[in-house]
Amino acid sequence: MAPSQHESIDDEMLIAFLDGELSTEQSRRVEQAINDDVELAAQVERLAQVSELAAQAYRHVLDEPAPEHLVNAVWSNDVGQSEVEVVSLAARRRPTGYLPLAIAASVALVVGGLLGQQFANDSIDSHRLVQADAGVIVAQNPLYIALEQIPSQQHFEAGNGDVILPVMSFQATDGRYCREFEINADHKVSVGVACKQDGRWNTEILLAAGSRPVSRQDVFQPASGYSQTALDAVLDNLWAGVAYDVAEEERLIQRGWR
Amino acid sequence: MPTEVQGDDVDVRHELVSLIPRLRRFGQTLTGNMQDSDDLVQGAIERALKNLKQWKGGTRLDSWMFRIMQNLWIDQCRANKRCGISVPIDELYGLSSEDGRKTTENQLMVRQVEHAIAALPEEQRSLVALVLVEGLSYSEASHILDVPMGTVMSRLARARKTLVMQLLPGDE
Repeated sequence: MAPSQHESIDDEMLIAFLDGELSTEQSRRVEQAINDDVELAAQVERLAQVSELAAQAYRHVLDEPAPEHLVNAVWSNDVGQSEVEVVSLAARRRPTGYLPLAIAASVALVVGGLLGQQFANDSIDSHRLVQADAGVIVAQNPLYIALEQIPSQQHFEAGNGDVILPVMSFQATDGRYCREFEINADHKVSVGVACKQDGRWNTEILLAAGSRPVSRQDVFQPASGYSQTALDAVLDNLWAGVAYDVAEEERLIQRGWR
Repeated sequence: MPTEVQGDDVDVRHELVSLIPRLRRFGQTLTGNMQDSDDLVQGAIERALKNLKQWKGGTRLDSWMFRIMQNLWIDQCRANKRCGISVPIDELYGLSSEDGRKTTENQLMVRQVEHAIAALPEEQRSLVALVLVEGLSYSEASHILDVPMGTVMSRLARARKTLVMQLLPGDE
């Protein structure tokens, strides 16, 4: 592929554009770039074409009637003993009724535009966050704002290109309100869980998840480095399995998680 | 048969039955062939029924099932020390179709695409299955596979770059 004059628009951005996963502002940037660059437009066309081909793959399977032995398996009463732990991870799901990400991101952009300014020169240092403050997330930290105000599955742009994604909210088994979150800062991804107690957010766990690729030259990223087991152990202790839905979460945001 | 099953389970099981075609499609994208796919779907149904209490109503049953299938498939890969998948030779080359009639150009293209997807590394193939074939969002896929969003994006980008090279060779 010929080098593009839009060095900042890599394949990842193009596919996110095609999949409707970009914010309005990012989409506009990509559209502009495509208008200006014939080669980039051709690349988008190729990527769109294979996406469509892949979407059609195995479609014929949907037309086949469900095999009787599988239907019988569903109605079988001989299911044996329940397995502890087998799918505790799988039970981690989003609340229902979430906004599609593209819309959510544009909402977050507005919020980010208002709140992100003050963090323009202050990248999120997740290690400093826990070590210096013994797990307390100070109110000046963008993460505090995100936990306090941003609905789950909406991106919060915290300045400097840093992005915080609250993943889900739940009431811990001990009654505290808690949120799982993901931080994309300085090309590194961290995941964590924070709970609110006595008006303060504390991190229960914060794990570095590895580097985020920044350009198309980046080689394939291996599986993330963070210990899923550690995160699960924390969640399994705290979480009864029910995440708040959008409406409940909105009420909690209004009430300041009290 | 539904009468043998008591209580709330009935609704979930009805939903599971209606999901079977999509589970089989996901299974075929993951494993490349119908036999392995149906074994995987059956194993996932059994595991889901054993752990039905862990599934909370009002949340997405399809994501939960995809997750269980993905875990089972990875377990099998590890047990067999290989994550390669086998695509039947006639499906691979489109030499015959079930009713013996001449395979159409369209069917040939579909099989080429399926072959190209089958040839992807496992971790890219599962994302193609979830996002491109099943139409889930990056965030949903990130939850099912337990990988960060950045990894979802980089794997999807690499997968599609490979598919472009395989399927649209004249265009590069």
